[in-house]
Amino acid sequence: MSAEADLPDLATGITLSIDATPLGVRRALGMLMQALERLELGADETGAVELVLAEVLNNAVEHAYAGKGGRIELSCRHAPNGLHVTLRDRGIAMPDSQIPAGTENRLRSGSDRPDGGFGWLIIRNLARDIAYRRDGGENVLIFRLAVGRDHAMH
Amino acid sequence: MQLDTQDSAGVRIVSVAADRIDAAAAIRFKDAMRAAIPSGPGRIVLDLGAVDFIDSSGLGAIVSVMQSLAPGQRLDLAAMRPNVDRVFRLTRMDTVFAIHPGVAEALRDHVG
Repeated sequence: MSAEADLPDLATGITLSIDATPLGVRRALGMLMQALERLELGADETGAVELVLAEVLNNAVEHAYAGKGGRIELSCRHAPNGLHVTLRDRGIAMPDSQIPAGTENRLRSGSDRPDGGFGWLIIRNLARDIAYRRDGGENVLIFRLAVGRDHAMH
Repeated sequence: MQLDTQDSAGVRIVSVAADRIDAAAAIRFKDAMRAAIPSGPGRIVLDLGAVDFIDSSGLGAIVSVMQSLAPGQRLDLAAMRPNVDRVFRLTRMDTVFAIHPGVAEALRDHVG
């Protein structure tokens, strides 16, 4: 199903193997946003997509791999009801095998790392149909971004 | 991360000269901010007009800078573009900071 990175076809799906580092995430986002240009999304939808993809990839880098590095596989496919995203990594499982709630009140706890809570708050606000499972040593996170829904599939 | 600083009417204006405050830039941003903030009391306006993308790491860095301010210091934000504004709204951090449409408005709102 995956197209070559330089010939992305979002209708059949694109898959990227991403270096689990902050710079790897930045580079992957650049490629993904370029691939998304053909959906001709508005600025608001484009911004929301980049933000959610950044948050889920950062989570894999910082939490699943705890900054020690690894590979993240990200697949995107555009369907009539939006952009379907699957993220796979081989890092540690989410606590209690559940997606974190995302909290607004980390500020009051005095935590030096309020970003974890902020990240899931953002993801939960912008993504739909979020599902997580642990599958043979892999974290599999699936969600949908309800963008580009007026466009016919190419 | 390059920050440009300018003092105007007793306010330190810190302008981010980068289009992204993402996870790859957040720590350097935080360090540069701490270096750009004077030690005494006063108001700091962070000009985000050049920033087109921020993620929760960048947001966390700004919040952390705000939390580490000395007594009598205050950090306001100015010139947030839509992608930056979205992150502050979704996390309710828009209720924690004074946010001005632009640097000129931030200075005009400054009384005393």
